[in-house]
Amino acid sequence: MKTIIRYTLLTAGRDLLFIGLLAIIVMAYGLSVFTGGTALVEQEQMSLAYFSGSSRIALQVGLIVFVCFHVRRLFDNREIEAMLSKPISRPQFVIAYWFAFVMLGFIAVIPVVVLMKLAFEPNMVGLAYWASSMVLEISLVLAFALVSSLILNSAVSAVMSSFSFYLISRLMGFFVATLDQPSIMTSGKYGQFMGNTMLALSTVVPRLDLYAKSSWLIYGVDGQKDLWVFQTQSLVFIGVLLSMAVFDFKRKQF
Amino acid sequence: MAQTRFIRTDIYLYLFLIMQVMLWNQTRHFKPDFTIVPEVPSELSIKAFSFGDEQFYFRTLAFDLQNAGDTFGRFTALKLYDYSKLYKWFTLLDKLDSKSSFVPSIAAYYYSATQNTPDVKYIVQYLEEDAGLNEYNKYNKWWWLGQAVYLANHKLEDKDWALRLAYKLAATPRNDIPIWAKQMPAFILEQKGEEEQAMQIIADILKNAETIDPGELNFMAYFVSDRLKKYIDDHPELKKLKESKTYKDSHPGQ
Repeated sequence: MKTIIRYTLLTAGRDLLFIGLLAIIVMAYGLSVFTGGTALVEQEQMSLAYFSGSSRIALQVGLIVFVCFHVRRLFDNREIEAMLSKPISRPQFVIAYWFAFVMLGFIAVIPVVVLMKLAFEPNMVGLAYWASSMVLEISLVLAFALVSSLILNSAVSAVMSSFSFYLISRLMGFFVATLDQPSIMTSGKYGQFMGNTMLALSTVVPRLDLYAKSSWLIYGVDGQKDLWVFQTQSLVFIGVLLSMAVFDFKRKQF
Repeated sequence: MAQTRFIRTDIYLYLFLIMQVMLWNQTRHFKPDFTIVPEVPSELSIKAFSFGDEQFYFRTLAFDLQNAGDTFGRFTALKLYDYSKLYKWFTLLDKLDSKSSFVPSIAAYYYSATQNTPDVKYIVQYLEEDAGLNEYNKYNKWWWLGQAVYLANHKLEDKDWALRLAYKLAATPRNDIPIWAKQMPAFILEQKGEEEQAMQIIADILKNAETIDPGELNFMAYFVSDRLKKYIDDHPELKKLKESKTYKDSHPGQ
């Protein structure tokens, strides 16, 4: 397991993932401070919200692309066969790889948190929740990227499906709210059908909209009733995804 | 032969170049929308486009609203803005973040400076609604209610509205607001010519004078005695009573 983690970190370094992500984070910081600085009031809050939102997108996009192409390369170069010839079970292989990706996510979040702490005055409890929630959000999305790269034969398809999953998961709060709007879900020819489809979708898609909210950094987490969701949701859904990956991987012929 | 082929291929270049110029002649009339205040989206759509991070989207839209009309190298006079649309934007942004003072700030300090004074009613209406939106705002947004009183009183010169706002301001459920906020109804009543009521309000504040500093106490004591003197001067029977021996005996030193 340790070897796989070390190998993944080395590959990430070789692909300039950390340098690339750091450069994007610094650019996002600069742009956020510049844009926020032109606000008439609440300039720091403006910059902080921009930085939190833009760094989230940069991290997710960068890590999804890396994971999908990294896993496909393992198959294309037949490195995976070499690895599986070692005394490691297939479930262990999947979990080790996911854990290595979580390590990447954790390392990538550190400069964002450090910059937030040094350059702004965030609510410290909010920052702690935001950072831990961000790591869990990345862990969940990378678990999906790993599953899709193992199942799909093309890295591009895996990247696209991971992006779609991420967007739909972030929209899930809106979908659930829309279900409570009877006028939308019952009117029109397809209203009922759309409502049922959304309901079915919401049962199997996680609520990523409840993760790492920028408002926590500004106002703290007092009065937030849904704080328990992101830990529980991560535990449950990462379990689902990794089981799915193991299920598929065990049946794969090399 | 080779030269003829060359000429033929050359023709295609000129042909497509001419077509491009013709196309330009048609498309040059399609220009970006230079609306001063952008169309107001629905609450549902902004919830969807926030992708779960409402704070980030709030800051983005609030920033756009701050710069509305002053983009693409334009500088637009405030009298040309559609204030009914601005009011809808203000209230919509409160749905994403009602705690922030960004929108009340740009409303009270920037958009209230319009040359078309009747438009200020939209600003006052928004500030009144924002300050009473929820318990948090009732406690924290008293400053913006103060601004609303000022705008209603001095810009719109609507004393009745200003008085209603002043009563709301004075009723702010906290003891650490400046004393002028509590005195505000008295000042407006005074301007309306209702001096007795104004005096009564100040007298009521004086009854709870433990936490008021001496300078304010002196001012309020002067305010009450001055109005009382004027009131007595206006009522000869009271003046006669005050000069009577019975009164002087019972109020020595006055």
